[in-house]
Amino acid sequence: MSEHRFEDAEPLRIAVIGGGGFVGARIMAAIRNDPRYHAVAVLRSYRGIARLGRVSERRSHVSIVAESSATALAEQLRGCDSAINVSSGSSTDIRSDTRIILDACRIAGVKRLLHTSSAAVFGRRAASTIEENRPASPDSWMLYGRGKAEGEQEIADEMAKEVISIVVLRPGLIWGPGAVWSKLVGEQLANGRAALPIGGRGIANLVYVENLVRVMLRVAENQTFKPGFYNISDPEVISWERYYTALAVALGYPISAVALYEQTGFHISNGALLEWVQQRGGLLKLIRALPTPLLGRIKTMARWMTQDVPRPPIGSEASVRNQLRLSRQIRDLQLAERRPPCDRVYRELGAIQLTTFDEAIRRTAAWLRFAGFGAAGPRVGAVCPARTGQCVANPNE
Amino acid sequence: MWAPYAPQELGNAWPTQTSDVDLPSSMTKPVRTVVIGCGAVFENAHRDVLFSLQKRGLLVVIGLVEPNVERLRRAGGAFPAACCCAKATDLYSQISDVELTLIASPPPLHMEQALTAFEFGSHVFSEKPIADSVSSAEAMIGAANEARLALGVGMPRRFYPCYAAARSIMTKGEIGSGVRFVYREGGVYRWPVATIAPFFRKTSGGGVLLDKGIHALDVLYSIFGGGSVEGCVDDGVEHGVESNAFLKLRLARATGDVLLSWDSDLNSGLWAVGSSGELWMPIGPLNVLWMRRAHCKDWERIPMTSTWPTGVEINCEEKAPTSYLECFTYQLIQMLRAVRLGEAPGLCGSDAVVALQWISKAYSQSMPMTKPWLSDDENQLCLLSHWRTGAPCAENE
Repeated sequence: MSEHRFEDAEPLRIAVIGGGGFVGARIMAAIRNDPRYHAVAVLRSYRGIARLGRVSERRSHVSIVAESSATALAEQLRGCDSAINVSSGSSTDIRSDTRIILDACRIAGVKRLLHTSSAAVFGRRAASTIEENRPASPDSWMLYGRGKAEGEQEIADEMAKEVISIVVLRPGLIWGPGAVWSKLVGEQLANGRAALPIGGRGIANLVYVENLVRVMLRVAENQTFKPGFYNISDPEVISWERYYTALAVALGYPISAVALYEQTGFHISNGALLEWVQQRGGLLKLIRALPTPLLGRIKTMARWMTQDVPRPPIGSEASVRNQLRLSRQIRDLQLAERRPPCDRVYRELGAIQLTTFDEAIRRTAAWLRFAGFGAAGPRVGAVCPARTGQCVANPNE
Repeated sequence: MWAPYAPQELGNAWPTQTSDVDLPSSMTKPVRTVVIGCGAVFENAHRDVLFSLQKRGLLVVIGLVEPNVERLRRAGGAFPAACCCAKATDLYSQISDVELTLIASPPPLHMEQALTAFEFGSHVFSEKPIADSVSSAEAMIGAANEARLALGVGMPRRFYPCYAAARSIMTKGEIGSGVRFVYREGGVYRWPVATIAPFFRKTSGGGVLLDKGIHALDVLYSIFGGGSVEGCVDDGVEHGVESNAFLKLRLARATGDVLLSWDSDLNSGLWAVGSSGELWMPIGPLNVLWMRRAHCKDWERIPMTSTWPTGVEINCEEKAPTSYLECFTYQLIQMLRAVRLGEAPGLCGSDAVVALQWISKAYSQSMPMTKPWLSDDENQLCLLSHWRTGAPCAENE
């Protein structure tokens, strides 16, 4: 295997399995007009194209593989030099989905597979006890973490065959414009519910989405990159308090909008009950097998039990609603004293340009304002047509 | 002789009183109904509603039209007595006395199918959007008027109690003058489409502005009255469709901004502020509306009072729907009342076309959207390849 040389005539053909997802769409956006790449977004269903919105790009196309079979997937991977798996599905199917992807890569002759696992595989394990370059054992209390660890077991079995060069990345919490872990903060700030345990001193295992994408592309194109398991986080170590307050300030909220508590316990609530059900793979399968009308009623009831009646955004008023209400998952994340080791990937890559935390905050806040989570309330601010730079002025400003 | 439909009774969707009239016995018979288009919207919404209304004896499904063999087979399974055909003209030649045609096919087919239905003396209920162009919609309206038949359009949100309450507040001027609003509606696209057609401008006519915009703009029309589009930016490129759109509107009772997204979860809701108060209505719940008077710190939740008929009898019981799917039932019942009692459909064609006119105007003047959370390179790329103002590209690239 060799490092791809871009001065060669042929572009690098990359298949992005799960190309319509949040990270997949950012990968496609990064390479869609880069003449060094030819990209294939492989999706389970047509609806994933909405996030791509770039169907007719010259150097990329979209393939739909609806059936879960290695043969069907292999047809779309044929001719690809590398495959990046960023697909997400049910936590109970991760192991079998991973197996299908591995078999498909082998059948199609893909030389390099970059598989996305997750730092969730480690659960609440102390960072010092984590052996990075080994598959995690599936003992996390979280169904998602267990599923991802089982996927890693399949990967390890395949690595032993030495047919495909496989790199496994375990990102921490992916954040940035459009990310769940940033929207969560925006929502909490807008609703006056931003609150952190242990004074916010817990370490946030964050990886900015564009940084993750850059690392993924470098790994995919460099086939001399050593196969193995790698954790990945942003280079800067950030506490939860710094993450929350940086976004709060960037969005125009006072720092007091983030309430800091010294407590550590999590809140027993209807949300916790739902979380308990969600971690029971067998129970979930039973529920999903129910007739559609009954399943719909159960989902409606679950939403009714776990969601507050939507309230107006608080704007920049001082919040009086902050209470510490944590699910078990959030509590585990926000109590972490340190993050898993994550330097190996950067040592292997060498020099790579990454977005700094401050710049990432600026961009994330720009998106959160667009999405309506800024302290100005729902006001939009100017949205400018690109060509003229002439702003479609907001009469509210 | 009872005139089944009187065009001069066209109005809007708000709850109406029906005067006492002796009904001929024909009025109590089930409405003979044909369905054209048995795809996703039929399977996910209309089928169960039609089944339950048929069970109640309010209608009988006598024909199904669908070119896809497998979908037609599934639909026929729910209505085994219905005549199944691949083309509407074949169906009308085989069955008689069709009273209502429910059109749930792709929008480019609505005009032809509606005109055919009118020729055979059938009232028409068309899924939204009413058609793929303003001229097609106007042709449908003209044909309905000429045939003295009802043309209703599916817009379930017209049966949301909170929207009725918001309209009442605005009509009465309860938040004062000089009203400004911001409307956001955005979420990752999840509709189970079966083809790639929605994501090419040539086959779909547009992206999020057409998909979510048709609902959003109809809501704003119903609450704030008629008006015009003053500006539009979107992120559509080349032959694909836009995933994000921003419009500025000037309406009879307010001016404001609309943001729509297919690829991000926005803080979806309508916020309106006037000289003596403000409103906040989240998008999604049917019965949540908040109001705050000027100089008050606290928001008050507005009680919902609107109801709609639950049957086709005069003076039947009235209730309010409690879910989005229930709105499909109420809107179809209202259409049956249009057929039997001459009442106005929930949304008549001449009102439904307004949102389409605004969308058409928006597309005709749309400019590229700048997204400050993206890199300059990515924004520049969108500028250069915008579907309306960018450099033209070859059809098959």
